[in-house]
Amino acid sequence: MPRVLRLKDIWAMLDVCAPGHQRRQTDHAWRVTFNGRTYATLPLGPHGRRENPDIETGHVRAMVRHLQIAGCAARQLDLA
Amino acid sequence: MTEIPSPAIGTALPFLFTYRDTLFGPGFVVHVEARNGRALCVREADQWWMYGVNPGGMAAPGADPHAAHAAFRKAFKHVLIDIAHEVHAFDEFKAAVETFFGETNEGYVSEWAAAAETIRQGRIDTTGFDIAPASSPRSIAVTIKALDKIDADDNTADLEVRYAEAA
Repeated sequence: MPRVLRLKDIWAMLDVCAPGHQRRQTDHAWRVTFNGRTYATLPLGPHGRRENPDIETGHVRAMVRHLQIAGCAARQLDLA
Repeated sequence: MTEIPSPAIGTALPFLFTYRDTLFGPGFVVHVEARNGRALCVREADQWWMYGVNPGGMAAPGADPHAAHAAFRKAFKHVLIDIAHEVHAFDEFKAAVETFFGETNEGYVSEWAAAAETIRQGRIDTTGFDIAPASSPRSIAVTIKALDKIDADDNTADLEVRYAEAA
């Protein structure tokens, strides 16, 4: 089973670890930008269930490394 | 019957990929050739994950490395399409794609290099993918495609993916 996190928890983590970040919804994904770096493939979630969807944890692992907030993120979320 | 063991969690495979895409933007047709992008495919606890190194801002999962790469390839094209939707002119598209491809996920650089070293040492079964030097030069070319140069081949995804081997 894929490991998942709730989108609202990811936003809460970003509010703490990446203050001032920008997030924008595109046709295919959320695009999250912080300190000049952008993670471009954070999923929108399944169709029809996008208010607070489950997001596969691997995306969050990749995103927090790319945005260089992995240490802070690990204190906010279970990224294992 | 002998069961083949699954790769251990944490197994990491270093890839180099080259993708070619033809896309439509506002008022232009564009050809994108991303050459020797880097990605690290890791056997995580739940499934395989292909993490972008260059471009660093993307990842995709799959049941095995081939499936993870297929999802990664699809996600790459989706990013290009998203950019095409957001820009107003070719120069803007070109700059945005170059920025996307040029971003490095520093968090995976050393692991990618270490994985390329395991390929050199022959510690990874490389069946299923060709091998290329880890130092293969990376580049991105974004060019206008003239209408008389478009043909049916542009409907087909064009890609190469190879293991990266340290020198």
